[in-house]
Amino acid sequence: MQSTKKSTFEMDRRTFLKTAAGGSLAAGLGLGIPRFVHAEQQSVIEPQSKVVNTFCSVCGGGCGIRAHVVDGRVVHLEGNPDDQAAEGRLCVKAYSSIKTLYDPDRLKYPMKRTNPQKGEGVDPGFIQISWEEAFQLTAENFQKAIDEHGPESIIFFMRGQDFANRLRNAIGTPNHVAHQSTCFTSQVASWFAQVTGGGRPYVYDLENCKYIMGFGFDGLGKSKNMHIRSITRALANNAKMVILDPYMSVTARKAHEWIQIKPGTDLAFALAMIHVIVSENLFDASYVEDMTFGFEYLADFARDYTPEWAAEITEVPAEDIRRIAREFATTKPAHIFTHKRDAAGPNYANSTRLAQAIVILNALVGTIDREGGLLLKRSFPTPSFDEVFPRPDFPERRKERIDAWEQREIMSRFTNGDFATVADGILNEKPYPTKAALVRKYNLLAFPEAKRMEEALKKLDFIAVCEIYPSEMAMMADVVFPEPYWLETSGVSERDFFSRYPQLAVRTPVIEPQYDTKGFSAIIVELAKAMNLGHYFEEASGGKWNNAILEAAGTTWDDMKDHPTGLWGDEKPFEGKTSFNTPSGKIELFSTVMEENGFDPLPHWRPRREEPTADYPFHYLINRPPMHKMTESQNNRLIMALYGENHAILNDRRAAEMGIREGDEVYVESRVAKIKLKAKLTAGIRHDCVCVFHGFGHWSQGLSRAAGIGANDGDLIPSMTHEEMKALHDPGAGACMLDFPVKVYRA
Amino acid sequence: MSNQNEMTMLVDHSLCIGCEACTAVCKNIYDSDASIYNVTPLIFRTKISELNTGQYYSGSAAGSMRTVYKKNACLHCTEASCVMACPTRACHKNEDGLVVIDERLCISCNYCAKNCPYNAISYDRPAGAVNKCSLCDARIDQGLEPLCSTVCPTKAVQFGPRDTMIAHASQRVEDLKNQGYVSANLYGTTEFNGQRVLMILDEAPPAYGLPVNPQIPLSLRLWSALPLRPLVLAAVGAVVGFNFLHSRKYEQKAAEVRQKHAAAPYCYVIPGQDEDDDLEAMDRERESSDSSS
Amino acid sequence: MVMVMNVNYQDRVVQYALHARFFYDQLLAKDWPVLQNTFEAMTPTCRQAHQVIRTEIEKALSDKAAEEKLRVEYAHLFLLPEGVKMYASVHQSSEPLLRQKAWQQVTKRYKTHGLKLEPDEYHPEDHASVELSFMAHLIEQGESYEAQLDFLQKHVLIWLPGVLQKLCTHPKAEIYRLVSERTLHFLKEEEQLLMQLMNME
Repeated sequence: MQSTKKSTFEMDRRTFLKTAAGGSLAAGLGLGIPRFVHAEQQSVIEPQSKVVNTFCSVCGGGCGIRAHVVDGRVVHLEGNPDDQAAEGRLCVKAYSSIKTLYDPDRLKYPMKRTNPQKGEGVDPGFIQISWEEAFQLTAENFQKAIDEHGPESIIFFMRGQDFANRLRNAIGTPNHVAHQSTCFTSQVASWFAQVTGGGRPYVYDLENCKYIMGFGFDGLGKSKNMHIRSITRALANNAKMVILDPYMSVTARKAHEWIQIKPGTDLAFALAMIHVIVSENLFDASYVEDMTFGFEYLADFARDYTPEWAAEITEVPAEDIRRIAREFATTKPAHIFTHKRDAAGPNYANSTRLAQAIVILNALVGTIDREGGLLLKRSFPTPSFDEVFPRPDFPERRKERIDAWEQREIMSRFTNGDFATVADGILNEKPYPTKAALVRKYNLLAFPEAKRMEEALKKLDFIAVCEIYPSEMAMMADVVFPEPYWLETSGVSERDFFSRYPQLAVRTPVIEPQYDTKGFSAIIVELAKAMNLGHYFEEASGGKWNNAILEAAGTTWDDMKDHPTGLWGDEKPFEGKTSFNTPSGKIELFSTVMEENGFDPLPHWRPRREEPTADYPFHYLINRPPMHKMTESQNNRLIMALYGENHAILNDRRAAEMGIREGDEVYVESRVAKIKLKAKLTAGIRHDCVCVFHGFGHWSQGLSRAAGIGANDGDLIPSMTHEEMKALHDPGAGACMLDFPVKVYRA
Repeated sequence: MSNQNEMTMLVDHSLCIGCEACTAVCKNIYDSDASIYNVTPLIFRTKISELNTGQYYSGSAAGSMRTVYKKNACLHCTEASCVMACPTRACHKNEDGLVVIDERLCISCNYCAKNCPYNAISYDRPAGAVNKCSLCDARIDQGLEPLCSTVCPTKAVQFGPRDTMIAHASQRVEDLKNQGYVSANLYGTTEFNGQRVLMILDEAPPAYGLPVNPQIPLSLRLWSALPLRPLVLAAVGAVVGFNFLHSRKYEQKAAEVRQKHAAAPYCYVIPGQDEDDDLEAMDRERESSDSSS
Repeated sequence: MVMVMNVNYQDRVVQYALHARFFYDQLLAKDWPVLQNTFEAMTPTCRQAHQVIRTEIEKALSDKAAEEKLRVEYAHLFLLPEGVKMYASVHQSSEPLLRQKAWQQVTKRYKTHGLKLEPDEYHPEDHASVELSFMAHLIEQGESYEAQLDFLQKHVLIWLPGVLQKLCTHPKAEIYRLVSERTLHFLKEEEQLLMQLMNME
């Protein structure tokens, strides 16, 4: 075909070009449309591939990743072979995250709501707005709340973050409400009091352990990369694994012994173990002598906690309890592992006591901060945010918080918060009204009694949400700030989930952000400026902070950004600590810190808060599928192809008695709500339990793959009033995530 | 019998936690339009299944049910049923001795799928061909490991010289037995003259849905021995059946089906589709109506 | 011999640019003057064909409440998941994802013409607005009909008409339904025109 004929029209074209005075018509019109610029003309384009170092942010693990990019497209994520956390591999969540990166459902622009009505099934009427308008609107509304109701009427719902902490303090609100009371505060309280004087460790030397025990511990099911690697290595090295769990979790499936303990009674089992080990002199005498304080109290304390006593409570035969206690004490090294939402996680009113008892037991066999046990993290010195970014003084702020967290004798030290009590505070204005909120990376479905939390959120005048997806929380927002996906960002991570030796990981964007997004630190700084609080953030930026973290560790951003491995920190030999940050300088079996704070220094037996009744005869259990990340991954089609729906998991024989068949729709109902699910039957659960997996029940139409599937486990969890939480008098201020009975019946 | 230094995959099911990292990466790579394979979503080359067929051997739960995880993918048999079944040699052994499918030659007859004792082959209808694990033949060609063994976070899936894998597996089996898994065994050393993918099992093969001492059926051997060339068969007008001795019975039905699937002249059934054309179902119907009359 | 008398370069370029604009970004009141000029830059027949759209948009942008309603419609259709995805990739891959092969291919195509998107351009190369804008560019640069038809068929017509059809019947589409109908018609016209022009030696 000819390339330049068009005789009849040649004239038209020349005329047209002349008319446009040498410029292009499209440009001349002034229409805002995509523009092209000259690029080197190429007729044959070679495929271009590169590898970019990054680290994962699906969970807090921060595994080092080598991202393979071909022709501008991320095709594969490989575990960084030089990384102590990844050791060349990643978990299923990381491998699947490419689909989230390229999800067309992600938030693309800042938006504001035009429909003042909020709630499930309500169309927010979002419209796209500029970043400037988004900050302006948020600043105005926050200022209004401050002017009319005081700075404390603003809540920050998010995990602790240095920039956000500063803005919150600059505003002068005490209300930083995070989720930890639903997650792991019971372990924090016990570790703080008995061992670290600070937070709790996560580094598990499972691979060298020869006797792995867990009370509901499901490291394999949660599928954290470093845990699944080290547990399976231990098993390959002939470790014995004993798991106590009313449900046959993934970890229970790989265990040699699975003990279907009665839910919420694990404390009795642990106390009986202490009894056996102490009374039969099976403890590690030199470790106890050198590393612990308060051993002399244990004999009296545990005298009545015999295996026979425990057998009645736990429904586990006494001889098994005795045998396991003996095996635990004499197989070296042995350790009872606990992570987050297991029996020692804030699931029951007695969970903190169980966490205390577990610290005692692990100390008795000498595996705290020793090979085969749980290790305290080793990290680089961290810079002080205040030193790197000097600031004026913060204003005075009220002490009382909307979730009454300041009343928590031990836990108030930690920038955590209480998802269980915050709804009560907002709805009942206890101790004062709340008017506005800034939310980041929390979904509505994560709150106990989510429907009640929805009512609480509706009571607020203004909500700004930072998110990557149009989640349920985003649907409740007045302003939505879209954030980039972690593969599109720069950052530094300390990775305290697996720091045998200090090692930082650095990342640069694997691809440029695909949408009009801003990093969270930048959002905070801009918001501060819009609120006339910019003077708290002079010269402050996420990039500078990253550099400061690296400098404190002995390097710089410039050195690390093109680093071949993206990792900083050489392997150091592990040396167990010989002193601890407690009043006695030792691991306190008898906890003076607990005592000082008005709590029981020893974990005396206490039952769970609520037992099944005639009306509510079932125990409620919650677990999660390995390939999903909480409520964040259900729009990822690859992950949903692997695990697409949650169920009500019931014992097959019990179900038969109730006339429930596989796949039948059933209601699971607690005293606050009910959910409908299809039944899944198995022999792998106690006859008196029902287990629901977390992450489903999305209602946001913005999640095209996830909406309408399954049900939200958390709907059933009763939230608490300030008074109820106080009355529990739990050092860990746990939200009692499973401490209530339910009923199950056919729909 | 396989060469003892041949690179061999070893799947240790005692260490498999069913996380499906292998499934996800395989799917991601083979499903992507960046790859030459372009596999349809919901067709998997490898997939984990949960089986409630294991048991506990220690403590108070001894004897009660234990759920186990099985990695389902082609085992690359030395004497491969699918290769024998394929009328067009689409399913064949490559130079490395791996069983691979050349989609260009596939006529969707699904004989391979129907004959595989491990159900390792799926029919990818949108792609118009059958699909199965190729043990990442393209990667092996470049001296790389298959994807699943590279990415498995627990190293339940390994890849290495055959004798090393067997030695390691033997030790694991012994260890498992000492731990109480009395039926622990290594599958794949002799099955179908040896398989390129060996499997450590902590229960007897039937618990993992695996046939014990499987054999190639005579009918398949006979079928495979025929000088199969589509043109020859077309010329002869012969109706070729799964069971050569019974093929004449289905001549008419076969003609109907061929009509229907013009691109697949020897296609009898599509697994899961066209149930009314399922000859085995017809067989059963006939038998039951025969017995009831 | 078909007389293609009513072809006008200007109309073609203006329509590509206008339709690119519709899908590129939401419409605000301040955009009306430029849009008005754009309609004026059309020949009478073309302008007539756009009369209804013009009237509706003018109405929508003349009033704050109506402008907001239009912006809500835009967000529902083009920004939020319940709408349509204006990216070739999403529709031409086995999975609805961004940046798949279709995106790589069209990016390469731009390169063979010695072009790439301006660095701070917001949309990816396979977004409808970019591809339509590129068509305008091809025409203005005097590229051959063959090149124009090739790009149109290979990178636009294989996915965009289907999406436009969805828009035409989308429950939330009102003004953008009119726009999509018009775009669909225009693209059909374009294909026919280019084929005819290529056949006329």
